[in-house]
Amino acid sequence: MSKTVATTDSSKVTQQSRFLNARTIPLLATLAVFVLLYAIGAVRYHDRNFFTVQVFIDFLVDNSFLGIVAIGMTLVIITGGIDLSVGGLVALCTVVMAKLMTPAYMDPLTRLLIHCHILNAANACVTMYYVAPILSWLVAIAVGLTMGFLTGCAVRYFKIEPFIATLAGLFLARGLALVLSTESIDIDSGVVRGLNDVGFHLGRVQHFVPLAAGLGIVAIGLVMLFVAPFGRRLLAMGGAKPMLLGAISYAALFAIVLYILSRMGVQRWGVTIGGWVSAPVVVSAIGVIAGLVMLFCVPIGRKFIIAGRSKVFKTTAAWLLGIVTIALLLSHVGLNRWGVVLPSAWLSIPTVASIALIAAAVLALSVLPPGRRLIAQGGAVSMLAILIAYALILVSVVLFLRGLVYERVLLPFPALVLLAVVVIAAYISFFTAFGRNLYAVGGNEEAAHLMGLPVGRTKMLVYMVSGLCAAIAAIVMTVYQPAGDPIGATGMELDAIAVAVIGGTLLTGGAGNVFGTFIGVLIFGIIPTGIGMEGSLSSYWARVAIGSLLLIFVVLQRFLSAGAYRKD
Amino acid sequence: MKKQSNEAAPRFHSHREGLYRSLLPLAAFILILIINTIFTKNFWHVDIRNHQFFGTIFDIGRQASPEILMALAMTLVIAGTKGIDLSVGAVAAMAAGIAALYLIAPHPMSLAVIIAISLGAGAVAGLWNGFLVSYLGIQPFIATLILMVAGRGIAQLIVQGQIITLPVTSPICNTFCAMSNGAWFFIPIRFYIVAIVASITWFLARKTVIGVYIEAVGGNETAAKYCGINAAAVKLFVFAFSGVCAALAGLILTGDVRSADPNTLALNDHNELDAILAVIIGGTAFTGGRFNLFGSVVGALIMRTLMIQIFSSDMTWGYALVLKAVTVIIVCLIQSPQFRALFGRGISRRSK
Repeated sequence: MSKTVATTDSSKVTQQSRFLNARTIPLLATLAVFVLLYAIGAVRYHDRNFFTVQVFIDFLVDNSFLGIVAIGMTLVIITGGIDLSVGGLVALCTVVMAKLMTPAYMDPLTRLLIHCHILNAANACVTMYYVAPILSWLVAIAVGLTMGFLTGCAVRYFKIEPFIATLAGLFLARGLALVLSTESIDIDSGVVRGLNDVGFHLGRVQHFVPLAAGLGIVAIGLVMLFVAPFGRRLLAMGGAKPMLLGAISYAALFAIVLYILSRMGVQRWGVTIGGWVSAPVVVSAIGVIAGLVMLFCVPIGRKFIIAGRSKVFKTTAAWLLGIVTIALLLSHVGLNRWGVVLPSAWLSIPTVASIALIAAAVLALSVLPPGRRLIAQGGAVSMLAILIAYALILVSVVLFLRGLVYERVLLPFPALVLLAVVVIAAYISFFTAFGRNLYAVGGNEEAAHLMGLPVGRTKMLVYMVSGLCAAIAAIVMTVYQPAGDPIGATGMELDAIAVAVIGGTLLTGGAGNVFGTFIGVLIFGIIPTGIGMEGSLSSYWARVAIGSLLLIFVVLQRFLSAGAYRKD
Repeated sequence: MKKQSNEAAPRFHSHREGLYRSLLPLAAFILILIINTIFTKNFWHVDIRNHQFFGTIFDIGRQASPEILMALAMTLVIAGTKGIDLSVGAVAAMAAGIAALYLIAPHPMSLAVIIAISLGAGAVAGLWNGFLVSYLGIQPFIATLILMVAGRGIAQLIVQGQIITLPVTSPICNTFCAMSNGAWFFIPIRFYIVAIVASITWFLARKTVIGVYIEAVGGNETAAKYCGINAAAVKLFVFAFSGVCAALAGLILTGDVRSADPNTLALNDHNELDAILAVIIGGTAFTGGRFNLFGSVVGALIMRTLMIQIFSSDMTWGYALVLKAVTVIIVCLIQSPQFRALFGRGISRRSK
């Protein structure tokens, strides 16, 4: 906790650049592009279920290997390097795994055991079917790490350009994959097949909504408290503990209310409560009540009232309006399922969503303290930033709720792995010494060296991390399509670089963000999907579109970094 | 500590080092030729079919031609910008697609015009790269990556996603293919093309002021600017040149197989990476400034000789890639002062 307060104090001086600087603008621009593309897709193809969780999860699954590789690539690029070997490495790992999992290529140890009659052949095959996959994953990971280690050594000790060293790695890995097998090997393994069905069941709406709402509100509350300026001011005024307790108790209250309501309306919302009470009314009423409770019973709201009497009514109005719009959104979410028929057809979800977004953003900017402060401080650009932030929160909430209402949604294994890799990479890059070294080395190698940071070790490790990511991507790939393909993943390294750049990573090093890369992957997924749904456009436009996006981002970064992060 | 900071300082290229760099690839090539002379049957055997020379040694030249073209231009790009041109494969595919489209048109224009249009398209693509690099200040790697990513799509759009085959019945297509496959005085025409382009490049780089400009801009851009050199124009030039060479290579490759297949040209063949490889083997350093055109040509020939060696000995494509990787690693290690300091104190001291 003390750490948070400390950063609060030190960042006061540079408050203006806290939200908008050369590091955050590319990330925000990525977010904006994603939201824009997603909104266009949602409006244009809403009859084709574009705006559902399932399609969203498909983006994740179809691009999970690219995403995992791109995360590793992002870390490498942050140090100012590049890793071209990943495409070949992924192919090599899949082939190695496929070979190890195929009985025909039984490993020498098993063969020896059979030869000595310790293991009989039939049992060995069964063992292969179930045990070999796990061993082969370990081997694949070892291959990835070794490759990364070799590249890292070349870069660290012999000062070979990362581009050349990893180019050699690309040829080596791809070549070894082709030496092992010239054609694709099918994988037939119980564990791999089983993994196809493994996933995290997000569950049905009745159980999920309260949980998601509770978690979401806690998350938003925490972000507001510790990240948004006004939350931090509150912390400074009243201490962290009561605030946290207030936020948690408020979230818990909200979750309980939602849970009870959802239990009541197991069949259809509103119907059980009474024929005349339709969902929007109920939800709006809850919203109003929740808003009032929030203002007068919860510490945050009370602090507001204490802070300035004249602001009370404005603030109340803002909260209520915001909650009512969310309630309206929620009610439209239940368009089909809850049997609520809207007055006219044009009032579709995207329309309402965009109106609500604009309303919420305008309100947030003009009435809420952080919005007002941002306007006072930074003008139009800040407004854009806050608008995007609010829009994203709203869109993601609406998106998830809408999809979950309709069906039981499974978050499959590849998507889970991708999310796990993103979270772990984020933790490593933001909260560990190694992560901070990455940024330091990329920002100014000489300075990092003079500060006594382990420049060489960091560089070597980051290539190993990239190799590890490639191995994980290969594992996920074999689950997604059970085969080891020596010419698979061709050009993946360049796609990964493109994703990282679209995600706001500066190729000169020192700036970048794994979350940006994650959003970049989503953008990478949306474009082909959208073009596929358009129907009339040839799929090659996807390449052109990605190239154009790349151009826009590179130019944007260039202009942003012209002042702050010029390296030469 | 002191030693480390010494290593971080920019490397100083003495004259000896330059000589060393340029003689090494040639020595390697000669060594490979000698080994082949001894161990490969009929390595120097040449016979005449269809009024042109055939034989292993000519096959190496034939297959290396497009690569040499790209490598020559890549050398100038590396020397002048300290960066690389990743888009050559995509540009080759685009130029090939354009040429094929005009060639199979019902009433085709004259061949010279078609070739000029294709090369012009390559030049435009190169100028675009140059514009991004010199006027927007984007790193060459990423600037050309844009065209590489988009170029694959554009090339596919040009040919509508199909592989355009040049029909044998069309005279203009036959003439076009003859420029790639044919021979003049028993020597394949593409050898003349390569020779002409190489001479032009050599002339520009060594006998005109352009070469000095490229070295100056690549060596120290700020200093070059203070000397009154228009660095932006120099960069524009090298990229445009690279675009034209890539387009020419694309046309030769198209004539070779009588079809324009953007996917193979832009993606599967790794043309850009092969060209970079040739330059690296040729001894041009990525530190910019100094370059070695002759080395790049020899580098491309070395690579191709090794490839042919592999294919003729019934090994798969995989071994070829592994061999490429090993070659690059060895060459880079030899060029790395740190590595030489480890094993050959004598060499590194003499070169200083």
